[in-house]
Amino acid sequence: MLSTSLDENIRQLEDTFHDCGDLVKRKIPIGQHKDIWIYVAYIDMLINRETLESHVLNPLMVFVWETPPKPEDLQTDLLHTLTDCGFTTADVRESGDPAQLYNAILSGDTVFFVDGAASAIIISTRGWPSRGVSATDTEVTVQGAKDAFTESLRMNTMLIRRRIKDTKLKVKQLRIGSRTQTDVALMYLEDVVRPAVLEETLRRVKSIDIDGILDSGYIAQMIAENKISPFPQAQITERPDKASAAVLEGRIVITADNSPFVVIVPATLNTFMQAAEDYYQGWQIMSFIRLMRYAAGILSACLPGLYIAIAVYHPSMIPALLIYKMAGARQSVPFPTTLEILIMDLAFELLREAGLRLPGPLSGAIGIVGGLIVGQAAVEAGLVSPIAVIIVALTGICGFAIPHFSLVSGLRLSKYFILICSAVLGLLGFWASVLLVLSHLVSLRSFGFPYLFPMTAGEVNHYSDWKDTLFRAPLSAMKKRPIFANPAEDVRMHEAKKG
Amino acid sequence: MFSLNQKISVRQLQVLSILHVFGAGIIMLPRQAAAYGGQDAWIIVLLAACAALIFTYLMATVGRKFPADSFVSMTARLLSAPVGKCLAVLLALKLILSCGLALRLFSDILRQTMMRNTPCFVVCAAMGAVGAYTAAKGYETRARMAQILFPLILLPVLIVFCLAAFEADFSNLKPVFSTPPRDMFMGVFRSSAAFNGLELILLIHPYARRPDGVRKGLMQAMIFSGVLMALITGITIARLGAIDVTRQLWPVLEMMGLIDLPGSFIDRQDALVMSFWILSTFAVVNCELFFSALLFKDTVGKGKHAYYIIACLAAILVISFLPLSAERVNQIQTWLYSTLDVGFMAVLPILLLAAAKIRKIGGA
Amino acid sequence: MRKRAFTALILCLLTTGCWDKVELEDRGFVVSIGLDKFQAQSGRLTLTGAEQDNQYTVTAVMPNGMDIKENAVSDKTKSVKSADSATVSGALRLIDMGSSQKLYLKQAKMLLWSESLLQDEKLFQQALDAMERSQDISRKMFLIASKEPAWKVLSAPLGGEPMLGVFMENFYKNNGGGGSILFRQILQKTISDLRSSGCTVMPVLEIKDLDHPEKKDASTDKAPEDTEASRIMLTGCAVIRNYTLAGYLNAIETRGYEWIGGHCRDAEISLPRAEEQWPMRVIESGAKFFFSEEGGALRCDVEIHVTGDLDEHHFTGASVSLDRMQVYAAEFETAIAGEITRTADILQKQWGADAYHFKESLRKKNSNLFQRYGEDWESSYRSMKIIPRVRVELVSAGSVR
Repeated sequence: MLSTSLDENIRQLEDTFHDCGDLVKRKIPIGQHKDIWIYVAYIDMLINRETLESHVLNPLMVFVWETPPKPEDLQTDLLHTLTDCGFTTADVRESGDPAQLYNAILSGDTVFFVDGAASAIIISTRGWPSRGVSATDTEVTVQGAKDAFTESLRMNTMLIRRRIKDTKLKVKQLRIGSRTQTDVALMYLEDVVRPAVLEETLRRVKSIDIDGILDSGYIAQMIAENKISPFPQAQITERPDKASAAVLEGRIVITADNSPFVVIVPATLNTFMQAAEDYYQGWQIMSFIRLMRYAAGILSACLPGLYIAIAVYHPSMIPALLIYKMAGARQSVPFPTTLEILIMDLAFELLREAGLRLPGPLSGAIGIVGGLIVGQAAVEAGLVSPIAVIIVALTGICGFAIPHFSLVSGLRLSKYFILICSAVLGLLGFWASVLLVLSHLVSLRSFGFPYLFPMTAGEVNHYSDWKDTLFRAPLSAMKKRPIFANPAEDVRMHEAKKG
Repeated sequence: MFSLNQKISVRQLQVLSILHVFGAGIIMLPRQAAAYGGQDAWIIVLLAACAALIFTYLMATVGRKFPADSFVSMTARLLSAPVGKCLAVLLALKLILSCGLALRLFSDILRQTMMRNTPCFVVCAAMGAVGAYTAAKGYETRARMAQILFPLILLPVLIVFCLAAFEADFSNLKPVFSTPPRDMFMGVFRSSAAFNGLELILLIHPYARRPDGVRKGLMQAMIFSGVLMALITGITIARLGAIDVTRQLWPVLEMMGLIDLPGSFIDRQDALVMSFWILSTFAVVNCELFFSALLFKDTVGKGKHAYYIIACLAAILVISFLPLSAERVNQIQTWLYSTLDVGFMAVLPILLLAAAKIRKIGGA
Repeated sequence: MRKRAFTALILCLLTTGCWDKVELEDRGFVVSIGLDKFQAQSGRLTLTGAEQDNQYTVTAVMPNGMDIKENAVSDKTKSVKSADSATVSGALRLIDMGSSQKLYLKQAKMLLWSESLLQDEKLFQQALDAMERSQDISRKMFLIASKEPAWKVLSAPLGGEPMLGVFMENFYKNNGGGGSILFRQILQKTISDLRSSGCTVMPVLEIKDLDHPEKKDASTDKAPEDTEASRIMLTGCAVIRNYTLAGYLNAIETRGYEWIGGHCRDAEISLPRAEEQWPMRVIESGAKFFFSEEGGALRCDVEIHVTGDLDEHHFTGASVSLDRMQVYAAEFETAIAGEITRTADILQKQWGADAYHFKESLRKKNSNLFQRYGEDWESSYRSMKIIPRVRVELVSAGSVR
């Protein structure tokens, strides 16, 4: 508990924050006779100084002397006494717990200690410099909103609030990370979310025991059920519209301070194949694109392995003319087919990584350098055959067609596994590895939901989730929410009223 | 709803049973049926499916009376604990033998058609390991895998056989009903071996979410399987002729290789055909591994299911490595069917139903 | 410990795997296979097996490994290898040993059988059995017969054409399998025919100027390999009865056979009448058999229905009217019936070859008659009356002068 002696409180504060040069503190006399001492403390640059100076200090220092507070009021009702002095800010609270007060200072609030009072006032003055709402870099769409989440938790909750003006939209705030004390908010629709899923999510988030949460990706990994699986079990997005759509489906959005990405749970493979703009355009074209995405997903994992299995072990399937060309192209290549594909694939992965690290203007050049020069040069030097370049390029392009990069990572790793098995055992190895990956995916769960839902266990929701899987049904036909929603609130669209 | 209780829906049960029966039987069935019935082989298959339907009804009725009991506990209640355990061990050994022979056959086909130099043990071990991994994940995982594999296995087969129907000469099925009754009966008896996964119906009721719907669901699945297999047999004979069918070990695979896919530049579809065969064998191996391990676990009463799977896998691999020719494997499979399969599919359910009636135990 | 054992197992698997791995460039893709009865030849380079009792000469044609990229299917860059052995598979193994690449038979398109082999029942049956048992040989491979030795036909330069197997594959692909001698006989059908009715037919291939490839064409003064004129022709079919060659049918006789098979779509039949030629292009043709008994012998009524088109002609006199069309149709019916009868006479009376598979048809359609006549089919067949009933329908007559 705080002491009523201001000096004692100051000493405690200075002890706690010793060697913190960014702590700004000032002892100020207030009152008609300037005989009441207060002590202000905040972290420089974490606060909005305009709020502090105009809406708090100004009233305290200018107006309060006209109506000096009685000392006994400061003891018994500090908050009302001082706020009556004219704070023009609403977010004010009182606390006598030093830990809470210090935490508030670290979070960007300003704390006022008053001599003679056993509690202090916390005023929300958060206003650190931030990026502001900008366009999304990682999930670009042709049609739809362009705004993206930012590093500010409050900004992020605001972006979802703007889209869902429902009192049932809850923002449950927690703090996780023993040292970072990162503010985390769970957003959900109270009546739409499944209570069991919410409870489980809360349990998992609260059970995170780590010193620091620097990004929402930490949370996504720590709450995953199967920590060995390369496949993501929580969705990560930068788009507020995607997050809002997830909330409307009964899913939970977890947003963390200092992270422009939010986590959405539960997540199934099908949710990773859905992009935001799937619902902004006609169902016909979007169904076609959805099918292409699934095909791209399968190809990105299976194509190199299948090529090796067929070309090296079972070339009878390849048409005669093509096989002669392929055999001819490989005449001068010194490497076996498997090694050729591995070399090209690893080169492609390196180019991809290099492209990510390079500054904006140069990243386009990597595409030109990699694709045209390195690929062409390798073929002309006889290091690889043209077909290998095509296979690897096609595999890479298929990976780019998948909307969520976290799923692509899982597929990329599976690709190597399938490739190696195919190289060893041909078509048997290919199918054995595919079956192993499928078994793993089938046994994976995300907060109790099968990862491959509705391809498996689709009958549980009477196959209605199939309307938004391989193809997208017309919006008028998608009357029910997906399986994630509470069965009591699973209708989202009613029949249009006639007349 | 999606709790980890290993319960599956009736639909998933149907898919599992269709895949198991189809995968175990379709490769050799037309040859077995044609050996007795010639061009009437498709009728033999239909009649065999009717027999399988009767067996299914009997076994599902038994299971319905004891929906929560495992095979061991059910037979123990009806016939006494030692008898129950003996039957469980016998069934488990039968499954291990059957699986080992199926793997052996699979390895032979694969090595003869695609991978001549790859050692038998590598092929068997690879397929066994994949089957064991899935079996160890539990019954729900198996059911979900089956839902994924169902279109992958059946759709290409249906497409190929629809195309084959266009090229087939259906006059090869004439004259109809010209097979003597004795040959017909023997053909039905032997061809019923193609439905040799059915005895597992006695084990599946504890895994069903709605045990009362299992009987109807499985009957529907058997009708589907029977009709499909009869169609495939008929089209195979129409395309190849009865004599050719009896001369080939795997007429269905041969026939699939003969089809010209329209608009396609793929000349030989051996690899496509073998893909279907690999997936079918996987369905059979993981089913028999799962249940054999389960039976041993229930008999012993302790230990993890996964450990029993490993032990059963080892036994299966040893059997598959034995130096047996395809004809010898066929002989052993025929013997297995004539004795143990018929015993578990026909005799045991009747015995159990009679015991339940006499002792007045078991639900409706 | 378990993890180490597992890792070691995986490493062993990965390092000792790939037993069947053969890189594409290491495969010798055989395009055509030729089968001959072994005859000691001089001047022909061949691989000879260790056994002295060679029975077969097997020839394999494949693209030349070094030229495969640029001219993969060109006849000019083919590589032809022959081997003699007691068995077909032995000869193929010898060819494999004589090649730096691993022979790959699964892409082979064509099996060429020489007359000498077709005339030897035992060798032909053995060779066919070898093809049937081989897992590498596709049952969709088409069979062609040749009057000349297969090795000579496959070695002959074809000028600007692709290799023979590729040529024949493209030929069948583009000609739709219709038109009398254009029927395609695949291995599976041959085996099935011989097993069920003891008789089959195979198209016959001839190459012009086979023995004198240097002989120049008079009109162009170019060597055959440089001329664009076609040297490759299907000239009829070989009839095989009980695994031995019964004889050859020429192009017209083959057409007489094909009317009953119903494969004469796109055939061109032309009748000379007075100073006019009456050509008809067949649009569709189909046949049905009906068996009955007559005078203690079998009778087979063959109903042929032909839909045709007079697509080029030069008629003097009156324009083509409906009545006149019926006259033409009647003439064609007579001509077609004549072709069928002539061919049937050769097959039935001369060779006793049931190339039409009447025995099988009788078994399927009329089991009573089959029980009476099927036992001694050979004499039943020879004494059977084959009565063609042809109906021609002309759908249009084109323009009229």
